[in-house]
Amino acid sequence: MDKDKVIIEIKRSRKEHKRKVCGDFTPNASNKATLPGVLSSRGCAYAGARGVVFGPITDVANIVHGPIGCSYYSWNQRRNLADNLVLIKKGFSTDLKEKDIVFGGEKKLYKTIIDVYNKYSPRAIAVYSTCPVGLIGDDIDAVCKKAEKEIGCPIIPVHTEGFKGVSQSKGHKAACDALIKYVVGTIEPDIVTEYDVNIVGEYNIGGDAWELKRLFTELGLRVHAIFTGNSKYKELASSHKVKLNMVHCQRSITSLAKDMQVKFGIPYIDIAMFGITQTSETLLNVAEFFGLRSNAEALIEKEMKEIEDEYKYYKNKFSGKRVALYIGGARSWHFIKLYEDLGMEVILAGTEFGHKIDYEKMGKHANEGTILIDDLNHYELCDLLNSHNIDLFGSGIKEMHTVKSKGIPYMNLHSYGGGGPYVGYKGFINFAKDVDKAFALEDPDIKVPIWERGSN
Amino acid sequence: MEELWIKKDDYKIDPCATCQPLGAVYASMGFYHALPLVHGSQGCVAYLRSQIIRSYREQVLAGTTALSEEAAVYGGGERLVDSIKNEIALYGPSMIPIFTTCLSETIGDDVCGIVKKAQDKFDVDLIPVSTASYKGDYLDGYDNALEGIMKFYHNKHHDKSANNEETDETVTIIPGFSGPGDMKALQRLAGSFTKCFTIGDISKVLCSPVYDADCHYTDGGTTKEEISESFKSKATVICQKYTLPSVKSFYKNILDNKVNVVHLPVGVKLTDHFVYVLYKGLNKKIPETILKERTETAEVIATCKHYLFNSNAVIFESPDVAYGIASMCLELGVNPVVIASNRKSSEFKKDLEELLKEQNKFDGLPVILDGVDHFEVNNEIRKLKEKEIKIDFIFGNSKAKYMGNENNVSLIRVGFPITDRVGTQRQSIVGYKSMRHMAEKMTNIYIENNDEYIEGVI
Repeated sequence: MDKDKVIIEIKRSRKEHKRKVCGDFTPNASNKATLPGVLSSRGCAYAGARGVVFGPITDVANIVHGPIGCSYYSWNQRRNLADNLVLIKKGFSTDLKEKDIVFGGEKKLYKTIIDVYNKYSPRAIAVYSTCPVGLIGDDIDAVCKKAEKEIGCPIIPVHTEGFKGVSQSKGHKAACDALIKYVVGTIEPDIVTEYDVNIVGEYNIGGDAWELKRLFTELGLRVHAIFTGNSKYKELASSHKVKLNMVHCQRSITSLAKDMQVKFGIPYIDIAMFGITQTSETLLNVAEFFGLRSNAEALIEKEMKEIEDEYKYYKNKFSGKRVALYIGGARSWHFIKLYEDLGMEVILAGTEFGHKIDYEKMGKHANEGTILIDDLNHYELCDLLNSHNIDLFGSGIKEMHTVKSKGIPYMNLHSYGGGGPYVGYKGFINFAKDVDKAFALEDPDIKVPIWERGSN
Repeated sequence: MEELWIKKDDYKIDPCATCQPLGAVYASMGFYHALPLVHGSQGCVAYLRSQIIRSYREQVLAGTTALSEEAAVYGGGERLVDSIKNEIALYGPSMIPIFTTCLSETIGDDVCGIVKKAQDKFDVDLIPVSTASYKGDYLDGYDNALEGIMKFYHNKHHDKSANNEETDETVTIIPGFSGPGDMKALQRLAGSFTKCFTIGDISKVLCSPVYDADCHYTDGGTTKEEISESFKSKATVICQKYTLPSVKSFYKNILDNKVNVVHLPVGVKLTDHFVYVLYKGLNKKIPETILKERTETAEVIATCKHYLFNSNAVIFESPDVAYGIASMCLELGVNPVVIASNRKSSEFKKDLEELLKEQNKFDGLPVILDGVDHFEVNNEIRKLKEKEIKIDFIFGNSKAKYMGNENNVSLIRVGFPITDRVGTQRQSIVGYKSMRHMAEKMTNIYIENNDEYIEGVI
């Protein structure tokens, strides 16, 4: 085997996934199958549905129909903060064994659903199908229907066989499909006002959803449901009478907003609440829709005043630093402006599972010359770290130690490394403090001993 | 109410064990520049990499064939061969252990056949191992992968009839699924006798500040030469009794009576046993350093036992860790009131009965469970609370955190994964030194929790 030839081949097939932003921009190849054998960071459809979209709902029990691993990895894992963590931090698995794969697992699933309901009385139950379930042909829809009839609790089948699609993205779609089919519009809301909104696509990592709710409430709106950070089943089910859907994570859940527009006639707008520029823009846009412009202006002024001094301090401190970002979906381009608000320059941005439209938006947000890279793999990451002058790398846990081993400051932008919230004005300062921390972790006085420094 | 604590079927609530591929990848990480490849959906590898990284805070390299719908219908053979080709070109690994998942097993890909055919095209060792996710657990995955790799190299380099008699003055240890800290402790003990080979040595791989220039591989791992040499060792010790059945029978088969199986040496008595096996097998004097450590530890135990005597502990981990911790607790005068393992093992239960036969048995304690989840262990804790039996410690991995918090009991983190504390890659429960450290740690936790009550003592 000629190794060099294979590497050239790989590089050629990856060429379309990597390009510089310039002038008349055309987007990358994206949402394509991962190259076999490379170390990609992508997960599966199941991870997208169970972990991202359904995971943060506080009163839904998540039953995973499959071998034990799928459930094992997804309980006690993601940083979805909530008022009530009991069901969020629970993992139910039908624990399929070889005999179930041979003879089918429907009976076991049925018994599990009934038993979990009796033990925990969840408001609803979500059932996920995993790789082998899709192949052996267990009819989870039928089982869910039968069990629902028996116990009278809504049971939502979510089709998330791991091999579906090329990334988590397919799982987000499966979750959205389940939400629109089985949840949204099934309960009538108790109150309806002229200022009702939903925040769609906010999972309360580090408390983001709470901060968003505070801001929009102060703006004069009533946030009816948040999909799905710290949410309750009833809020989601009765969310079809609001006046506006505001889509925050536009990768994972836009399809739900679109479906709600078709089914219930609710318009939606894209919002971005990371960094002061985007937050102010969003608040003004939303206020415009409801005729609340003066409220927005007053709110922005008040919030800005509170952070003024700190903002100046940090902006001055970080000005000119070069940042690379590699995150899941929408955050990659939301975060470009966030770093720019701190005077930093984003030289590289990419997503694990972005689609064409995400790269178009990214291209609009990024400066000329920024490198956009899709589905960055470990080998390319090493290459980039060696060949580019990067001051700060923001990404997920799989890249973390590879980056740190090079002595490059790193931020975990998936879990916020324990910090947050990052949205809005106060969140912006939290974020700035975390940037400060990331730089502080790489202390040159500790890394380089006195005898290896210059004569001074 | 009581009925709500009985599960109506064999499903799991808050599982404590994952499926085979994690253990298999973990095993192969212990070999020099090995790059495991998991044949299945890419989610399996994404999840297991995150899990290991969170525990040991080190980069983890594992590839996936990333099968999609198309492969699920037409088979994934082509992607498997492409994956091998790409891995070799990009990373130049010394070997590629190839593992199956529930997906590839259910599709019915003939992985062994495909790999065998492909081997002629590549000059890197390809080692296929079946690790279906619906069979066994991560410990079986470890066992199967380790056996697969060792068997491959044994067959490659050793004629079966060749002179098995020839021995070196070396020792080989097979630590089983354990963290780098534990492996280092085992190496230090065995290495103080003579030159020591470790099979599946992740002690540096997962605890290494330096990566090579391309940041592809971390340091360490058992090399092929070491594997080859290790078959000639004078003594070979398998350091986990319950979780390495295939490895055990493979070694018994090729080395016969030169192989010893011991309990994971946790606490003084089990470490004594390990040291004794080395002493007998190598026919060498026990080094002074070890004897001195032992004396020091015995002294510390006496100090700590004063506080810990008759306190109660709940233990929930893999059978080997659970047995070791139970034995250690007894040495400290701590009553193990619940001993639970995350996988079925009748041998484990029988051995524990034997270990505990001298114990006072009242209220039907201790309870011994195997193959359970957190729900079932929590149920036992609930029963203890109803009987007003105070629990002082829970031993378990980070997944037991909620059990500790809910019941307001200190969780002492042992086993895998430990994701919510630092220093996991250096932490150890093995050997005299670790025993000393653990005894002091337990005592200090106990004093802190009971400070008002015992103030002024000693």
